[in-house]
Formats: sequence, C-alpha cells, structure tokens
Amino acid sequence: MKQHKIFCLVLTVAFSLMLFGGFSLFAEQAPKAEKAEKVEKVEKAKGPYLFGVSIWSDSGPLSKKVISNLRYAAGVLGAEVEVAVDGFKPDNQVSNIENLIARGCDAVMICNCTDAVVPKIVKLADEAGVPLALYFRKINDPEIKKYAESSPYFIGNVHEDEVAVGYNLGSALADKGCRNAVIINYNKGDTTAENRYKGYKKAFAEKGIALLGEQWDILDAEPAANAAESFIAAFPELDAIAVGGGGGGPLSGTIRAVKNHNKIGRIRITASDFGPDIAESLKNKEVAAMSGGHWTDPFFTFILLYNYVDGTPLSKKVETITMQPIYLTSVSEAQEYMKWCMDQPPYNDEEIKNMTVRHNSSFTLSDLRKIAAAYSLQDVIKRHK
Amino acid sequence: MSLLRVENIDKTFVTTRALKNAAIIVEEGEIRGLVGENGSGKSTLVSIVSGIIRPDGGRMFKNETAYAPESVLDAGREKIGIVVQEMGTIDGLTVAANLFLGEERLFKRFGLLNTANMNRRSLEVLHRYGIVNIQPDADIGALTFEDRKLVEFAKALYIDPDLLIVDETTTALSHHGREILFSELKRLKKKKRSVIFISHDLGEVIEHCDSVTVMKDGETVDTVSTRGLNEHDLKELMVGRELQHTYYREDTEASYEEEVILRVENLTLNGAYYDVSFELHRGEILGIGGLTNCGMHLLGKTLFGLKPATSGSVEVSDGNKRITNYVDAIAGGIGYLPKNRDQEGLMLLSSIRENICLPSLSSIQKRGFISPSKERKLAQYGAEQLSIKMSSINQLCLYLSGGNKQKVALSKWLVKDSDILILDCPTRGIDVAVKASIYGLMQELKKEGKAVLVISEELQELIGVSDRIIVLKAGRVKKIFERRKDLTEEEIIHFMI
Amino acid sequence: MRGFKRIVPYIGLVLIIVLFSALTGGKLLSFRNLKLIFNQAVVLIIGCIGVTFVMAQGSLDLSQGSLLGISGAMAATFAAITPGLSLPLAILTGIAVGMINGTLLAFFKIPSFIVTLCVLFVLRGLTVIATHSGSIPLPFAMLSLDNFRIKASILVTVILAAYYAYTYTSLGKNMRAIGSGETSARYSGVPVERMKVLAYLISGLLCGLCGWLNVVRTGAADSKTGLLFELDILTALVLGGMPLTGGSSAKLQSAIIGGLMLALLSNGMVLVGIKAELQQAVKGVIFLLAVYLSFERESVVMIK
Repeated sequence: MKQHKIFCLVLTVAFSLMLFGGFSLFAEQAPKAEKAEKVEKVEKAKGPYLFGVSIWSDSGPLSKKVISNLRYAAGVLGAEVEVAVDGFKPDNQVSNIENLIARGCDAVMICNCTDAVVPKIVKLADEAGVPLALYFRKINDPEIKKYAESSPYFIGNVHEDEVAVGYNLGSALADKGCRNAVIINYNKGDTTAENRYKGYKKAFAEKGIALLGEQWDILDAEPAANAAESFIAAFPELDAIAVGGGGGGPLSGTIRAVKNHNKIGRIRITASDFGPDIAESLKNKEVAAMSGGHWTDPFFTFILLYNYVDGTPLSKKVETITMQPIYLTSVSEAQEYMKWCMDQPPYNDEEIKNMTVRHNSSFTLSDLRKIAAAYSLQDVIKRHK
Repeated sequence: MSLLRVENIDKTFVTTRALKNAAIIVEEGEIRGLVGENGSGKSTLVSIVSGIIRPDGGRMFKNETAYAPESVLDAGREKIGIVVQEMGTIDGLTVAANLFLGEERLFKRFGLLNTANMNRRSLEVLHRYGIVNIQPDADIGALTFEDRKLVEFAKALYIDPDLLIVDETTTALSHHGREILFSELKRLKKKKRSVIFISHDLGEVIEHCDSVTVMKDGETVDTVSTRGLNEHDLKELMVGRELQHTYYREDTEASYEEEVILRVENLTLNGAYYDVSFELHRGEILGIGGLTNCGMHLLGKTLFGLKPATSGSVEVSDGNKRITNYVDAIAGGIGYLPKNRDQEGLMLLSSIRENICLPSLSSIQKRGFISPSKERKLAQYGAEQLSIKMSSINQLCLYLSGGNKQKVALSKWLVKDSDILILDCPTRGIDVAVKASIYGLMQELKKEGKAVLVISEELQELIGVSDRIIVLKAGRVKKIFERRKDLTEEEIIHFMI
Repeated sequence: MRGFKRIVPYIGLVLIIVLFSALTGGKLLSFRNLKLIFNQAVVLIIGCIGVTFVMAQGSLDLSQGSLLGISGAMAATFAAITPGLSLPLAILTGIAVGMINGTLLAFFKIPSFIVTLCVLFVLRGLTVIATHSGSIPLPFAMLSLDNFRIKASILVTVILAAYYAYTYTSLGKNMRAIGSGETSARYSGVPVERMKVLAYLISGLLCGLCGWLNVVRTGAADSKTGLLFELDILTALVLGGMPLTGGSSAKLQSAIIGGLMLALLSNGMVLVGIKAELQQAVKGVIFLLAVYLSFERESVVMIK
C-alpha cells in the first residue's frame, strides 16, 4: 500500500514537472530545437516521401477506391501513404492531423468535415511546417478562406464543380423529355449538397422543367423512400426525381418507391456518386443519368503535394483545382467506365510520372488544371486505347 | 467404515490463516455437531468439504476413496449437500429453478425446458419435506429469509445425500422451520446417512447430535460424545478457559436516571405498529420484545428515522428535536445497529477503517479536510476498544467472521459517541464470547449515562440485560415489565401470544 | 495476487511506452510528441475523472458523449456573442445535465444505465438542432486559447481538486461508501440521494469543461462532436484498472492512467504506422487483455 502511494506520488511529481518545468524549459530552447528538427528533415528527404491522409472511413466503396488509388500513385512515384480514419468528426480530424505530423509525414491531406475545423488544421500544419491540402472540398466561408490562404503551408484544395454536376444531370433529365421534377437532397448547409441543388435549379430554369417540391436532410434509404412516395402521390404529373447525394442509401430508397408505384421508366431518376452496380441500374432504367468516378480528386491533391514536397512546387500561391466527375447515361457507357476506369488505373504509370516536375521538368500548374478539367470517360478511353 | 475422513486441511485467506491441520471423521448414520467461536473455521471447513472453496493442502476421503470436489455440483455428484449460512439462493429465479439449478437437463426435451414439469416436481419435493406454504413458480426474492432457507434445505435433501451439511441455519428459522429440519435429520440418520450440523445454540446441538467436534482458531480441538454433556462444559471446550457462569447483569433491580433522553408519543405506522408511547432515560437499557412480526423491527427503523411513521412523534430531549429522517437522528445522537448485519449494518467491500469512521466523518473533518491520520487513530481506537480480530484496520469487512463484523457495526456508533443506541438483535448468529462482550458493553454504556434500546427475539437475553421490557403484540404495547429477580420467560410469553 | 492486479495498469502503461518507444526509435518520447499526447489526453482524462465519481457509487454515466457535443455547441454559439460567455455556459450546461441525470436516478429510481443512455439520445438530438445539422465555427481569436499552458493548468487543477475531494473529504468517502453498500451507507448516515445528485453534477460539470476544451481545440462545434466519447471514457477507465461494475474500489488514478494509455495507444499506432484497418482490432485485444488481467473475479462473485 505504502509503495503504491509512493509510486503515485512520484508519477504525479514527474507529470507536473513535465507540464510546467518542461514546457518553460522548452520555450527557452525553442530556437535550438527548431534547428534540430530541420536537420532531421533534410535527412528524411533521402528516404521515401510519406503522405498522411485523413479519411472519413476505410470501408465504403468511395473511400476504399480513394485509398487504393492513392497507394497506387504513391507506389509509382516511390512514395508511401499513411491513412488515418476520422469518421468525419472534428476532434478526430484534429487528432489525426496531429498524429500524422508526429509520424513524420512530409505532407498531409484531409477531406474536412466542415469549414470550421480548417483554421485549427491549418494552424497545426503551420506550427509543424508541414504542407497541407484539402481534397473533395472547397472553403466557402470567406473569413476562413482568408485565414487559410494566409498560411505558408496551406497549398490548396481540389474539388468537383458541384454546380456543374447539378446542371449536367438536370440537363440530362431535360434531354429525356422530363417536365416536372422534385429534388431529394441531404444536409442543408453542406457545401456539396447546396451547390448541386443550385446546379439543378439552374438547369431546370433554363430547360423549362418545373420544380414541384424539394426535401432536405435525407441521408438514408427509408426516409428517401417515404419522401419519394409522398411526392409520387401528391404530383401525378411527376416525371423526374433528382437525388442530390448522400451515398447509395437515398438513391436505393427512391428507386424502391418508384418501383412500388410501377413508374419505372415513366419517372426518371438522376443521382450522384454511382457505385459498382451502375450498369445494372441503367439497364433496368432505374436511373436516367448519374455522376461519379470522382475518386481521382484526392489523386490531384496528392500530385500538388508531391511536387511541393519534392522541392518543385507547382505554384507559390494557394491553388484551387476544379475537376469534373464522369457522367453516365447509358449501359454501354457504364460498361466502358468499368473497363477503362475501374479495372485499370485512369492514369497509367507513365502519365503519373509525367505529372511531376522530377520526371517532366516542363510540367506546370496549368497542365495539371487541364488534366483535371479534362477528366471524363472519353478522356480516359482516348488516352489508353 | 467412516463415511468422510478429512486430514490436515490448511487454508489461508489473503493474510488470515483460516484452517490449520483441520481434521474430522464422520461415521455412517451419525449426526455430528460442529461448534466453535466465530472465526474458528467451521464455515471454511464445511465449504471445503462441499466444494465451495478449495483447500491449500490436506486430503479428504469419502468411503475411503480419495475425494477432492472442484465445485458444489461435484460434491453433489458425490452425494454431499450443504445448506450455507448466508443466502444460498439466486434472486430473479423461481423457487423451482433454484431447486433444480444445475439439474435442468432432467426437464429438457429437444433443448427446451419443460417448466410445468419442473414446477410439478418441485411441488412434490417441497411437500415431501413438509414445506407446504411455498409455490414453485414464485420468485425466490419475494420469499422471507426463512422460506428461502427451507428451499435451500429441500434442494440439499432431494439429491438424497450421504452427507448433509447444515451451516448455522436455525437462527433464521421459526419453531415450525426447526421442526421440519430436525425431523428430516432424524430421518436421514435412520437411513444410515450422516449429517454435519453447525450451530451457536449449544443446547440444540447437544439435544440433536450424537457427537460434537469443537473448533478453535482454525484447528479441530476435540470431538466428544453428547451423552451426558452439558452446555457449560461445551462452552469451556470452545473458549478454552474457565467461563463465568453468567454473562448477564448481576443486579436484579431496574436503575436509571430521571432524565428522559428520547420520547416516543403515539407512534403509529399502519400495518406495523400502533400507538406506541414510551420514554427512554439516561442510563437505561430498555428491551423491546415480541414475536418476529410484532412490529418491533420496523419500530426500531422509525426511531432512527429510516421508516417514516404514519402519525405520532419521536423526540430527542436534547433541544426537543423531532426525528423525521436518519440524518437528523444521527445528529440527535442516535446510533442504530440493524438486524440484517451484512446488508444493512456493514459495507462488506470497504475496510474496517472506512466502516468505523463513516458516521464520524463530520466530526473529524477540519474545514472540509479529513486527515488520514485522525481517521486511522479513530478506527484503531474503535477496533481496540472492542478487541476486533483483524490483520489491520485496512482489512475488508468481507473477510471478517460474524462476531467481528458485528463488533465493527457497533464500533462506528461507539466512536461517534452516540447517546442513544438502538440495537436490533445484537447477538444474532454470534458466539458466546462476543455475546458476553456485547452484554458487558451495554452495561458500560449504561454506567456512562447513555441509553440503550434492545430489540430482541430472545427473551432470556432481554430478561438478562434490560431495566424495563416493553412487550409488543401485533404492533401494540401489551405490557411493560420492570427488572426484577423472579421475572421469567413464561410470564412474558403470556403477553406475546 | 490482489497487489499484482493493482499495479497491472501501471505495468501496462510502462509496457506501452517501452514498446512504442522502441518501435518508433524514441520518437514517442520526443518532447513534441509528448505534448501532442497530452493534447489528446487532456479532455479524456478530465472526462474520466468526472465519471469516476459516479462509478465510485456503483452507477454509470453514459451521457458524456452527447454532453460533450451540446456543451460544445453552447460554448460556440455564445462565443459568437461574447467569447467570455463560452466557458461559463459550457459548464452550466454540464451542471444542468448532471442534475437532471442525478435527480432521475436518485428520486425517480430509474437505473443509471437507462437514465444516462436516454439522456445521451436526447442530448444528441439537441446537439444536431443546436448546430443546424452542421457545425458552428469558433471566432479565430479563441483558437489561441488552445494553449499548452492553459490546458496544463486546468488539468493539474482538476486532478488536484478531484484527488483532494475524492480522498480527503466526506464527499468522496460518502460516495465510495454508497458504492460499497448503499443500504449500509444510508444506515450510517450518508445522505444517499444528495450524494448521487452531487456525483452526477461533478461528472456533468467536468464534461461541460471538456466540451469547452474540445471546441477550443478543434475550432468548431459539430453535430457529430463527442460521438462515442462515453465509450472512450469507459475504455480508458477499464484500461486504468477500474472495475466495470464500479464500486468503492474505484480509484482516481484509473482515470489518469487510463486516459494516458488510450492517447498513447492511438498516437503510438499511427507513429509505428499500423494500418488504419488494424488499429481498432489492436485496441480491442489490448482492452480484453487489460480486463482479463485486472478483473477481480473473487470480489465480483461476492458482490452477487
């Protein structure tokens, strides 16, 4: 008992010393410590570069594809990828970035769950002197955007043109002759959902489709099915349902409702983030058009970071790269997509190497922008045929 | 041929040596008594024989073949059954489920338990032993302590044991329960089965057993035949020294001060007791007697503020404070020793120190700070005052013997310096030596001018220690006796029933 | 054997430190990384300390996860008005929730497991509403409050105050007495109901403080903030040697040791480069081992 107490006491004292004494000691020696760190970093450059990736999950189809694609690209360039799962929770995102930096990552990238967490993450990167970039995301809040851009270590972000996604899918509905549509969307306030909504509305307005109703905050199959059934019952003239996103759940719920009312083919559905069963859905006429295949987005973030880490940054400013997802409107297109984008990498080893200044000294930011903007099914087929 | 032979058994709990070279031989068809002070190792020994715990060393033989049970079920297979001292049934199960615990396969068909069948069998078993007031499908938790004991008893009997062990059960049983018990023991003997019977009631042991084994400090001291044995000799064997003939008070007249310290007026708790009024004086030992369900136990709880009365009042003279809850009661100088020691009197998973100091925390704290050394001193003082047998004041109460547990439960009110002590069955399940010290303590408190209120089911005890005895019948005060030389049990019983 | 079990958590802590130090070539114990572990552990440790008071009484508090969320949301909402309001409001939220928990348990006699589980759900709903299903950013200026010294002072103050209250005052002793035997404690004069409410109040207060610290750390209050935090707390406490049934043998050290261990584990596994897919499994195995080694089968059997 006595020993136990003494042990605790020692522990407490050590702990307090570490907290107070240690810190002030460290504060005085700060410059020295920094120097030591720099030495370490130079040495490190000899080994393979390590890229830290914080991702929401490691089990969904999208996240799995993102991870495997990044690992592939890193392998081509002789680099390594460290993945940490954050569940889209701010505290985990902060912890992940901290841990990845501590792991010795040469650069970190994250799909931030909210704009609000960005300042803290940027601050962490700043303090550690580690470059940081976002994937799948754009900073909407002007104040936070300004704060992030003032940081020397914030490199930039890659995101989809979600307004264009909504616009293209909305146009696809018009092409199929739809006149009366509703929108089922996920979280109000989420940048992606809001932008797709804007795109749809724009397309509907231009092409003369009436927007009969809209339903938000739908994240699962069940509520989506309920919403769709209500719409079908309320508007007999309904011939189009646009599903904003939210993974596969809302889409499958919507399809189920339409099926139940025997309106497959008469009510057309568009959605985003297609999965592996896209060909089947198109064949059964369950969906009219879908967007997806944007798992290459983090790959472009990775290319930005790689060139920076390698000492040949593509830009001295904070850069935003916009890319296009792939649109599929027919079975044959879906089969082509499977063949050219899923079964083999959309960018082969040669092409990946050519996106680095190390292997292609004339490569510039505008080249990268062009590649990202050109990404489409036809683009991949053209390059690899 | 001996039925059971136990040799050189040793057992140590943490730091306490519970058994040293214990040995016992039980013959076929013999009822063997097992007596000894609290903590002498009786329960430990029978727990080992019945597979509840395992010995550190030693050997056992049943019918001259080696016997080393790994569990109670193991022992059951060898036809050795036990009724334990504490609660041996499992709450939340029905009577039938408890009865056939571990034997469910008898009623299983295609993996399903045939409950109706099991209940029917249970009813048969219970009736066979003359237990007619218990329904097999009742939740065992809803039964009285006595009924639960009887179920345990039936459970031990229905396996038709070669050896039945009954550990200190009779204190929990009523007259009727005891009758069932002893008639079954006789029947077992007739069938050439054997019994080990543990009890603190030495008269009972001498009456019903063929021979008695005496234990002291973990050793089996002696085994004697009960023929011609008297209680006093047996006590001497147990304590190992000459006993005073009586441990009750020697004076034969009531004596107490004028000053009233606790006043009870027209106290009524519907369904328990009605219109109870009395005054407790300084220096008085006031006994309350009656049948178990006469309301006296609940009365004790009301006096301590635990069970609000329907009407009437309890007042402490010190400032004429009315007692309505237990916090006030303690502040008013009342201490309470509950009947159910293990569930209400003690925190078994806390140390002796924590138990003793708990009510006194407010008096040893200084601006919110409780000094560990003060706490230690207080506990040490309390433990020494009652000479509690322990390895240290930091020992958990769980590992104490019954008598020492009772001493700890008492000690917390002594160190608190309570003026009024309400003792509910203070000597229940306790050996003679501790009993004597508790009686001595009551007299000392009396001398100091404190007041003691003893609630007891044992009339001999009430007569022996009280200045006055209040007799309750069906919740009403029937008679108040003053202490006098020729007061007899018969005289009191007359008013109880 | 009991003595051995008591030091199992310490041995575990030392083992984890030694193991990960070796695997990371000493990187684990670099000052920068220690600071990091501290950063990640401080909220967990404070949360654990609060729950220890509840568990000492043999009850559970599962409402922590959502309480962290709602107190954070309160802090962020009011920080937008006046930054000075954020801390008091987070703590007040915690106290209010603690009082509700305690009252439902002590006076309405609903088991603590049920009460706090229901409160967990209700508060999660409120958090989603308060954050408008999204998140509330904190004013930039407040990010500077996520400062090592401030957090260290808060942690040390909380540890010392809690240790004092738990060990040297009638408050702590009464609470442990309830955990050892509620009826017996009552019969010895412990105001059981008041103590129960107080324990939840302490737990809520500290969790409110955690909510504020967490918001300041991440710069945002999110609808998902604190999700599964209550399980992290339980895991940490068990790693620290706390019996899952709680009771008088609950020790405050468990909160500190356990919180540190869990933070060390998460950090160490990333440092070593254990695949994300494997990290959960490794944690599970270590947890199982901790329970196996420190579980006191004997006394649990004796409890019931």
